[in-house]
Amino acid sequence: MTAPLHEATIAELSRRIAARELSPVELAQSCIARIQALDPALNSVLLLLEENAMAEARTAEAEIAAGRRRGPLHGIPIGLKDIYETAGIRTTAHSAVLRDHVPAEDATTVRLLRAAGAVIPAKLSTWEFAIGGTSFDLPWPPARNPWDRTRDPTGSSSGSAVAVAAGLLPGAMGSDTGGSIRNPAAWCGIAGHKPTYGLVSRRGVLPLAWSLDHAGPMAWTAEDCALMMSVLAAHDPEDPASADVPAPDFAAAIGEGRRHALAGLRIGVVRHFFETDVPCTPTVLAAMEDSIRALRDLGAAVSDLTLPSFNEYGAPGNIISRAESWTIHEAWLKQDATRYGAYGRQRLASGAFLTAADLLQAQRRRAEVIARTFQAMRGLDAVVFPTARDTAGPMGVDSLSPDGLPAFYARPFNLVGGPALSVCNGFSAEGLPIGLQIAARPFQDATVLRIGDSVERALGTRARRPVLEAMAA
Amino acid sequence: MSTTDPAATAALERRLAAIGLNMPAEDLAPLARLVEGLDAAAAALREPPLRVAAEPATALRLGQASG
Repeated sequence: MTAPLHEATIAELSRRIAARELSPVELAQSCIARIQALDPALNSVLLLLEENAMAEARTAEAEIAAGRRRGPLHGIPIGLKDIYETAGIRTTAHSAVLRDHVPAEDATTVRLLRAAGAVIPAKLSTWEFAIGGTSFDLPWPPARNPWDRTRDPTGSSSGSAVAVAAGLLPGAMGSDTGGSIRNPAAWCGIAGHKPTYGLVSRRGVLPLAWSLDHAGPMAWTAEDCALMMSVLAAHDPEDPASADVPAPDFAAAIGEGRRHALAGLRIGVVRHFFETDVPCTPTVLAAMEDSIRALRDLGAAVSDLTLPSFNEYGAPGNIISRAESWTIHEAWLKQDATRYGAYGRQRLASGAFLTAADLLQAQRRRAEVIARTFQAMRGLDAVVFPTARDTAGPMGVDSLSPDGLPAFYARPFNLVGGPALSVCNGFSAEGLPIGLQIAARPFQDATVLRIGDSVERALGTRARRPVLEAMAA
Repeated sequence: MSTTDPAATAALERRLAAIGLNMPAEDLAPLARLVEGLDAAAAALREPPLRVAAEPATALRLGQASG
């Protein structure tokens, strides 16, 4: 049976477009109509690019009809978090500070997506300048979680996660400085991949903290993230952190997983992160145990391992992030801090009080914790732990839980730079999604995505969607 | 820095003025709490002492990263 367009994955849509069973124009029209019907209740879209998207879809249709299909993203609608610069199209970072900012050039990733034939129908909401949490005093309202609109999608790539989870768009771009791809992916029940630092260009993506920022894909499945990564992973001489490495063969890795599941892979469970360092809820713990059983059933050798304690990643991550983001925003804050929302300006301003020695101590600790992390992961293909301590909280979340502990387990792999993917590994009794995080040593992105694809299929979580049609009334 | 201590709040205002940052009055208490948290994080990084030779990861280089 063919899935309705809004429930079809990028992989399915791509096959149907390649077989000429589906027109990119029909697909773009479907996405735009669904955005217009449902997004007023979800607030995921900051700017709908209907005219541009329809022109791009018509071009894609003509090229494919002429036998010039460019690849798996040709004719596929992909949304952009509104920190991705787009030539001639407003890019606001969801902030009054950049309300009228119209870049002259596309970000490198946007250029790559366009070259692959993707259609760009929308710029998507974010936390202000990607620093969180959720704010109600910005020029545009915050996105809401499609599984329960009283719940927060979290962020900062909130609009990207909501648009994909609600079936408004099959894929979107996010960014991740301290979990901003993986956290909303988990709370919205989708897949989100933070690539290895340097594998995907950040040129033209408005920065939050240079040495922790990552650009990456968000989609319904790990396979779809792999399809997007096959376009996005490319050396960019204009991004000083870009790695000049051969692009991984993501399609081959997914194919290998489909043929042999996880046979031969060794996976570590970082149990102390979620059992003792920052204990997760019983609901998340139960989903973790289900996932660990699934990994074993899929043929992986699974064992516990000990990494540096969770808190050893937190302090250097916070100091580095705040010092770098203060440096970026200092001039604008001094000019007029009130143009920012209260949440963002307070966090950005706090970095002003750090000293040079604070930052250098943080960077020394970072070097040490990176070495200890990868030493502990020697001989392993990946490690797993939850993405979030709990399911989605009420609208207005912070990065801390009400008990003052971190709400998410994302920070370590921003600090160490290895790839980290969140996939949906279950649902709470209330029907809210739960996220599993799969991480690895640098440049093992294809392995991480293979594991995510296998786990999603084994657990069967991709068959369940939020029910939204009532909102259109 | 105590977030309820008027002297500490006044000190924060002086530091903000010295930096040239004009923040709304309602920001002072939450900002003080944030600065307090960062001060604690910075203190945690100083203990235990690192080897003298331990170098900072000022530029993250992974694999064959060209940067």
